[in-house]
Amino acid sequence: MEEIRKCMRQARSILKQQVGVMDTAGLIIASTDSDLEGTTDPSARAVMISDDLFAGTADKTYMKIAVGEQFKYIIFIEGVEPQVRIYLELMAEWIKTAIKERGTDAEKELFTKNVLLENELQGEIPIKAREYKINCNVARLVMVVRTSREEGAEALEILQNFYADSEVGSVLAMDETTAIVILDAEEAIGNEKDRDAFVDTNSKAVLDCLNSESITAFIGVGSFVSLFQNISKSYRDAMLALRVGKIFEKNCLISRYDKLGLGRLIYQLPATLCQMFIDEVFPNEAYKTLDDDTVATIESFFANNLNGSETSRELYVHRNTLVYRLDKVKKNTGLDLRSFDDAVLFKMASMVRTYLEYLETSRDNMIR
Amino acid sequence: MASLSFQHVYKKYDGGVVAVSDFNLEVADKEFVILVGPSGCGKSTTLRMLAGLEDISEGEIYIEDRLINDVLPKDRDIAMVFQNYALYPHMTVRDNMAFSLKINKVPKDEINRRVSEAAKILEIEHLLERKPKALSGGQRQRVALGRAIVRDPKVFLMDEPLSNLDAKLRVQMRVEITKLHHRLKTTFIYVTHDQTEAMTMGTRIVVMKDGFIQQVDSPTELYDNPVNTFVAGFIGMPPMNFINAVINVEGEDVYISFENVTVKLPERYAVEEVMERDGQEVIFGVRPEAITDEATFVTDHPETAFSADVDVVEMLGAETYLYVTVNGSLPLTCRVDPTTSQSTVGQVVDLAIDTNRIHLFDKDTEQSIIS
Repeated sequence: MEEIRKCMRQARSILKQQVGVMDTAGLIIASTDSDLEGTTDPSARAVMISDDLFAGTADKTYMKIAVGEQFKYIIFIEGVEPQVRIYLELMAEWIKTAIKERGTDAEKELFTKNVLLENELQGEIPIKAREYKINCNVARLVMVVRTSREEGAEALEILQNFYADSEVGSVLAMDETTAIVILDAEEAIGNEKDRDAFVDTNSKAVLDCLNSESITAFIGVGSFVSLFQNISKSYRDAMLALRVGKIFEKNCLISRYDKLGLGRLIYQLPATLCQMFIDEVFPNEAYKTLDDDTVATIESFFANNLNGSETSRELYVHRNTLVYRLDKVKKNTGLDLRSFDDAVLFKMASMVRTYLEYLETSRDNMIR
Repeated sequence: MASLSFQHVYKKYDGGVVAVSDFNLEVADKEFVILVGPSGCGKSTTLRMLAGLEDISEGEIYIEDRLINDVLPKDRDIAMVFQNYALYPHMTVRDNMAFSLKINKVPKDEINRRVSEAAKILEIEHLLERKPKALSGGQRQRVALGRAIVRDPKVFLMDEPLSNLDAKLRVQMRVEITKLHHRLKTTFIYVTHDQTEAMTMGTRIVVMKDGFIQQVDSPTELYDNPVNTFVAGFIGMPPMNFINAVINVEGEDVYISFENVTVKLPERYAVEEVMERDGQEVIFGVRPEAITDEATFVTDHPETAFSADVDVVEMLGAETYLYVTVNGSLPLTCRVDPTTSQSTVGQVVDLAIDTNRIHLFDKDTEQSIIS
């Protein structure tokens, strides 16, 4: 319907008369007078029964519009003078073209989805892309936007409006919780600083846009690709960023493929290897002996680069309390976090443990 | 219009990271409260918990008397404005403002009424049929505010809304938002890392660091009576000078010494909290404007006078900053009157401290010694 509404919006600035389009039941779906939208015109039934293409009442002229073999819409205009029929014919052609274009847009969207999901043959992509007027030689970046099931449709509508008429971005719905934003990144391809700023600006803009409509979202940002044929890689990377981000940085709303750090490595490891590593670093599940306060202390100690004074200041605890807690960690796990080697081992083991917990939860969810 | 109440609110992430700790705050109806602090202090997280965009790990948040911990963001009766005032490019200003109401199925008459009212408040009635690309940065920001106003929320939440604007426009919009608060008579919660924004806009300021509230007070109180060195250093530009100094008590008189300089403190410092620190090191805090090179003041206050080498002179028109070094090792910043100051680079200048505007902090806890 949006394409018909768009025609009406444009017609508003051209025609003095009130014009509108209704379905065959008389429900007005678009009009130059937006107040009429959603109301019903009782004349529709009579217009549909009539054998003529045109019909008229005391103050309006109607014309049926066929899409394919069937009459799908009725267009109406204020006035009964002969020239209004010409206006109606012109409007009908305009709307038919818009609907046809919409059909092409849907095909183009499906094609792009297939490219993202690697359902198109690599060799055919440039040929089909040309048909849909897609420039293959433009650098692109894919962002995956994940919302809740309840907010998915609204988020999609917001994003589609955000990038409507935009030369730089397009939005596709992947499923009810996932929207894909494909950005034209030609301006950012120059150097790393530009790329960094581009990702930062665009991902934050999308997040702020959704948040300001009270929608919570998580964003995964893929890698830059220079050819349209390769956007599936950017999509895969964005999905991976979203998954890895949700495992290792739960407080992070935007996960970038180029900034996954250790999480990227650990995510690739087989579960059995991870379990062996955990058993080695934390024999007898020693980590289970650490209470919340101790875990928070360790996090803060790491965040302050193993600086005891800064950590105790940040946690509002006496330095001796910190020393006591670190001694307790050493006693329970055998790792002295004041030593760099042990601290690295603990940090990695904690991340591996987080990953194993994620695998376990995922498996449980699948069984359920 | 609504009051807010945060009661022992925590935000904890898996793995032990605590973003917000024991956040307690009562916000009265129609107040303009600013959350300010450095990056990562938990101010945005607090705002997002209030908005429903983040779960609350512990504690309770009330809007009026309604517990909103489990209320969906949409149903909290709030509106948010962010740094990126994302406008829909193909829509007119009118449609941009009406968008959220349309998707929430608000009746058309009501939408028109609210958009007209908001446009009138923001004085953008003449822009309603324009598209975003035909607007200036300030006008776009107003439209973004308009999108929040049309929701007719009980509370406005703003997360660094001016950060994307240039310096001049930021000053202009600061005034606009303050005026808007007066006109709307609604509760505003505003997050910023910019202490100037905080000081100029808020009726009350919440200074945060590492997830903890450091001080909640009016701008004047924060400036004049900071509770610790963090607040003292964060609020005020140029920041307060912090000097490691020793307290000396002689009879009923209290002196403070640093770098061969001894300054006599006023009588109000002859109290137990200070006297008991005789011979101990403290942090002596002096705002730049409390150090002057005005000849009359220096002559009249020999008990607080000292000399320093002038390293840099910054003349800003209405004020001049002197960057000086005491005894070759202690750098200090002074804000002096350009109409009376004769100080030049390389000169040894006589300075004096206005001891009615000084601060003493504990060396270990960094808390103010006299509350």
